[in-house]
Amino acid sequence: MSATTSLRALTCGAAMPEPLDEYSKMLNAIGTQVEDYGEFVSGFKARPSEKDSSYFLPLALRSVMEASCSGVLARIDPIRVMYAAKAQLSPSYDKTVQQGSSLKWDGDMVIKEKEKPADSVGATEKNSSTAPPIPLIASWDPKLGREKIPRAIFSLNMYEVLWNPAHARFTDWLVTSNSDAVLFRELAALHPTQVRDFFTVKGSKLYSELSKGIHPEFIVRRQAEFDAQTLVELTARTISWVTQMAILTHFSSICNAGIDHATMSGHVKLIEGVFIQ
Amino acid sequence: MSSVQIEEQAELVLAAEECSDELFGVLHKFSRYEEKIIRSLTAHGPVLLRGGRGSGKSALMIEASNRMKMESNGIFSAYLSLRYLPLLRETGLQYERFFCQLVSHAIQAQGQLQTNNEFYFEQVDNGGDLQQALIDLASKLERRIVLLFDDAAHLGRENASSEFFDLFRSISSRLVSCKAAIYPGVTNFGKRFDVYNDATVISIARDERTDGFDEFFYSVMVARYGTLANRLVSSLNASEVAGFLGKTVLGNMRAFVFACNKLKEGEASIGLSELSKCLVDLSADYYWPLLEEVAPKLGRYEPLVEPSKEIAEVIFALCGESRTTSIIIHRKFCQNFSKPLEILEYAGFISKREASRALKKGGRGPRFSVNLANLLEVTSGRRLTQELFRQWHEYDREDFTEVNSNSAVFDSVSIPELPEKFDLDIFSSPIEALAKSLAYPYGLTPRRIEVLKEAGYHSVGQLAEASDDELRQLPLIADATLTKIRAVIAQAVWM
Repeated sequence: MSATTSLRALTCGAAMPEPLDEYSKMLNAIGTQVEDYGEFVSGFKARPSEKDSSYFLPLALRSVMEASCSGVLARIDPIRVMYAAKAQLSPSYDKTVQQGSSLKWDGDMVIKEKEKPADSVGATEKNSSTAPPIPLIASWDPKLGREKIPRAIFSLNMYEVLWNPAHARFTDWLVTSNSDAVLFRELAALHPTQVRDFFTVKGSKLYSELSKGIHPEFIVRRQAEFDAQTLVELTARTISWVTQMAILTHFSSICNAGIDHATMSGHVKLIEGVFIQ
Repeated sequence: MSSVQIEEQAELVLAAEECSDELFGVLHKFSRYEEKIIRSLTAHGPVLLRGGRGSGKSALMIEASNRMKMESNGIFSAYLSLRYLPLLRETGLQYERFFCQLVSHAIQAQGQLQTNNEFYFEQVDNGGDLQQALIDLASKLERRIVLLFDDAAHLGRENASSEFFDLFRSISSRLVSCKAAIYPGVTNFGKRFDVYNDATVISIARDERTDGFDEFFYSVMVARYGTLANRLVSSLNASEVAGFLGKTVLGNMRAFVFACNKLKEGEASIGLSELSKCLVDLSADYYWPLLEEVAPKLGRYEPLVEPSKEIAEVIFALCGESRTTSIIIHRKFCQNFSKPLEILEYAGFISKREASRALKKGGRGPRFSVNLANLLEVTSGRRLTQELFRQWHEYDREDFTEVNSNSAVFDSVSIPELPEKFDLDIFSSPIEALAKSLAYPYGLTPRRIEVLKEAGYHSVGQLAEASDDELRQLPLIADATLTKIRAVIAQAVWM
């Protein structure tokens, strides 16, 4: 078992029984992408000072993020991902323009949501490194049409029904577990009201930072901007974020293909040893 | 440097920024956990390094700075301690001007060192010009820039913190990363700086559950006190004792050094009774005086020191009764006592290990580990037995007591109204406040206090503003004494 296989298992879930149906095949295909991009990451990370790593490691990391989130989305909302996958086979699928059915970071993973009016929250309260942030409340509007129902994996509604309850279940499980994984401890150190910031804000920031690696800066040499230290750090941060998101999916019955917690714990240790330390 | 000289120096030097370059490398050890933090400090991207007094923030920043200078030709870095009085006193444009000039000078000095004097950095006095000058420098050198700001935010001066974080955000860019050391309890980041969006916050927490915890503290003990381990009685394993002391001080490096200094006193072999005495002394001579020392520099939060003490007494009484080393406190109390709990975290009485754990009788709350020195002080017999040593040294998942939501244990603690504005008390304190004491072990002697008062320095503020030349002209103030005076002022004024 390699760390990239572990990453695949955590994000795309347990292997499906044979014979595989269309859904299982799709999860398998996403899993293969997670594993492949993970291997590229592993290869570049082994030689972070090389020129090609400074060009391609950020790209591979962003692809790991995208493929991993697609895997999680497919376990939460199969029809959304299957629609995108099957639409690609349609004769009217036009490769030259962005298609409405394609998966997108903005919309499928994160969405812009109305925050509480700023004047209802004191600046100090809102902006503290120690005091937890003011929780944002999900709206369950009875008048909202079905096409407007937020389906993104990091919507406020998902935090209410998936991420926050999963985080609480995970914290309670950790008390009884023997694992000393650092990624577990970091997750447990999060206050419940920090869970959204941890995934949405941190994830979006990371995604944007990695995208800068795809749209290069011309003032400074590439290898100075994405030098070895920065690449190793970006790798640790990205794989940590993906792994920690995936851990929580195994503490919610909303996500298909969950794996037992002992096996999940073994995967996390393996990933930590290769990518994070 | 011989091992005896190293040991002598190690006893005296408690703060990384007071270390000579030569000694820094000898005394400071970095575990895998610290290496990860150093990596974040050298990589691109804004970072806030959060940790209590003596947690090792400065050492990590200095080490990161040294490594960038030694190992990387793609980074231009500068380490700046922000221990300057005008940064505490000024606000608005005055603060901005002083800060920008300080950064400009530091970059010029660093540039001259790194490029053999063929270096020019424009001296600027506002954030916009500084941002542009830094981008121009990065472009000219074809390097990215890392600025490490130590002592960036003072708990007692929230306005200054707000000014700092505005500038931190302004000058950060794709080519310039700012890293700043802050304390638990720093909450005012100003209106423009979003702490979750504009920086990665790293909390230093050397957790006793970490792999290699004992070995790490053993390596520090060996580096600083080469002969100490040899004095342990045969029934005590040196690595376990180092790990136990590490757990005693909740992973805090300054308190660990203090504990080793205590243990080193005397010539006798070191057994459990010496270890017990070390812990009891640590509680009486280090932890409680630290709260007294910190009070006059907390500004408007100074009235919270008394309730913090009361809360600490309740926590330690509960843990002492149940002989447990951690406590889960229902979140209702944590919301009411958030600032006092931050003060206790800053001073090293407690350290948060999990943010939200289920209590047996319902509800959730954070779990805090408590320091074992104050715990032993309230434990029946105040003596470490083999059994207690083993019990406290080993990590046990069930080793906690609980404060439920309907508990009355905190009923007697009341939180006073805080004044709107409040200057730092320490500036108006008489210089006798800096006399040698438990809070200031390297404080001023009565004779020196007399000399200073005769010269017209009556308050700590007046003394802090005096120039080196002015002080050198006084009788009994040689260069070595001046360094000592500056160190005591720094301890008194800065966090």
